[in-house]
Amino acid sequence: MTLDQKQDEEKNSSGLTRRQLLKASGLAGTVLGSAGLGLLGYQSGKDPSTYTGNESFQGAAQTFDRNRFAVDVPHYEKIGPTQRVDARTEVVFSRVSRLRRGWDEEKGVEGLDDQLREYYARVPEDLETDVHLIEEIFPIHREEAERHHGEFLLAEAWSNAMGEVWPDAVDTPPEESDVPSGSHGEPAEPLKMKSPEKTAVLIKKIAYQLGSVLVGITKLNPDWVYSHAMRGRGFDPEQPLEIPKHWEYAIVVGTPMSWDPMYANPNYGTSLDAYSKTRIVALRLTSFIKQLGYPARPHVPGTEYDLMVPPVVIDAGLGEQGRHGVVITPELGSNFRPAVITTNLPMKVDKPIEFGVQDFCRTCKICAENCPSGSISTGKREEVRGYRRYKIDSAKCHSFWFSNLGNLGCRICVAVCPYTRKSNWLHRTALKVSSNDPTGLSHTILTQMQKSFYPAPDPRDYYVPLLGGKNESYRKPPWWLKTEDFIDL
Amino acid sequence: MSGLFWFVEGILFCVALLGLRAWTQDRGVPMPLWKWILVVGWLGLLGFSLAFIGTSLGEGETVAAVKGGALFILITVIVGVGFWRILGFSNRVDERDERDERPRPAAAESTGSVDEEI
Repeated sequence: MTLDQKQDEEKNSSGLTRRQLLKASGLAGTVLGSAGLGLLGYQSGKDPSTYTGNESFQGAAQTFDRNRFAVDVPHYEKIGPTQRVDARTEVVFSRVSRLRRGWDEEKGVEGLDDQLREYYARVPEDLETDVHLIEEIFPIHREEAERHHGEFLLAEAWSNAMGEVWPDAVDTPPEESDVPSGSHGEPAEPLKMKSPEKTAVLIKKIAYQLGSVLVGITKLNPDWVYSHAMRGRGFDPEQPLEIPKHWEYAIVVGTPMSWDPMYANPNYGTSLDAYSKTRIVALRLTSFIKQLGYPARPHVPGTEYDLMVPPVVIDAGLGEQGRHGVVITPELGSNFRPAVITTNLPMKVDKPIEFGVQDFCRTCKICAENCPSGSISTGKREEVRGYRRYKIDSAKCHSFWFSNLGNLGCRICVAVCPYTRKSNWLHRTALKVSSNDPTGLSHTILTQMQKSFYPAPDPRDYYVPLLGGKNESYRKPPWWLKTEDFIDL
Repeated sequence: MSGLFWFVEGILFCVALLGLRAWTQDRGVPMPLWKWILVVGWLGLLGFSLAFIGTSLGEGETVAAVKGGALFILITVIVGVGFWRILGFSNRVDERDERDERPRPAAAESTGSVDEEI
């Protein structure tokens, strides 16, 4: 017997030989190591720091390597003569607002103004939806809101609080509002910047410092500017909107909505949450640019903007448009509320990116299957104003905003999108796999996993009871929005 | 914290491999490099499955934890059984017979009992 073997045979105080102890330790190491990974996973899933956008003001959240996925032309294709959007009628908010003011059941369409008559003659299905909304849905919504008010009181209070800080953007024509006024000591002439590259780096850094989570820069495509202004802002809505010459570049900034309420849509989430933050970033960045002596104008949804924001976000390389019409970014998925600043400050522009969204959306369809109003197409992309994209029925979508309770809107498509996930190891890995898979096999597997592992309520259940629903939300609300836990109703 | 966690995980992983090495030696199972790669791969699969369950629970996605956990654990078990056979862990070598056939070192003190050498 060798010395080693003898030592192996010597039993320690626990009655095990050294060799038996080694084997037992190996088994224990396996169990403990595995348990540690499970616990690490639990911590990773629970950790609030994995909610992208909540980490810092240092740009640390814009993590995706966009250069690898940069393309020279965006994924939407120009396939016909393009047409700018007439915000007076083609933007559902303006249209329904005008309809409510002018609708008379006895006169019908003939009692409406010229623009509305022309629009409804062209899109008769929207007339049916819009009239149904103001005649049928609004009264039901009022009745249900009164009946269930207390249930969503904290959610509504929180949303209203977020909307309380809502500074006005501009209300005078661009030649007045956009140019540096000298009120903050702005220079009379634009400062000479060293290079467009350095300026782009500086503007992005400033935007991050101001609280933007993602930033991108592009040349402004005139097709995205409304043909007629939606809410004035110094333009006469009855006159064609002439694009100011200094709207040469577009800087896109934005923030996510708070994640837990967003998952509890349509009742508990609120767009005011992110829009109020993004608005402040945009206004501050506008001020910064003006102090360099350059004109700038903020376009800040949900109320004050002169252009369609999503295609600008795509051009600026921040993401791709999904089937639901919302831009999907690599870091935040669809949970991104952007704003645009138009300026002529010369900057190096970013390239659009393609990281697999078009292929993913082609087969996924989860947003369409879960959309309570059936606004999202399950078919192929088609021509919309000269560009190929998925068509959205904005009238039906808007109608549902008043068919559920809690905060205004829906955002179910944002919450169920497989890209709208926390930034932990699991979902980052899935994103990497899907972004780098040219075969599309992983898209099919991930979609099936999403459908099976992350079930959603029946879309009908999102409606108020009088419309056949159960006031359901996609996920349970966060503890701090459960009214019944804090207030005696 | 994260660094310390992975340091401890590394130690546990090494201990697990050392234990496996001792166990395979005692069973007389040869362990060339490719076998170690399979073992490490299986441990990775096991770790992924448990981390998936933990992460899903942490996110509050119970259905994902149950369904995904069941799926991945099932895959882990099936792969584990397959590897167990491929690696020869189930074919216990009768060490006594094997050692009886080996020429004994002339200088070795022996009472003639093979139990001494085990």
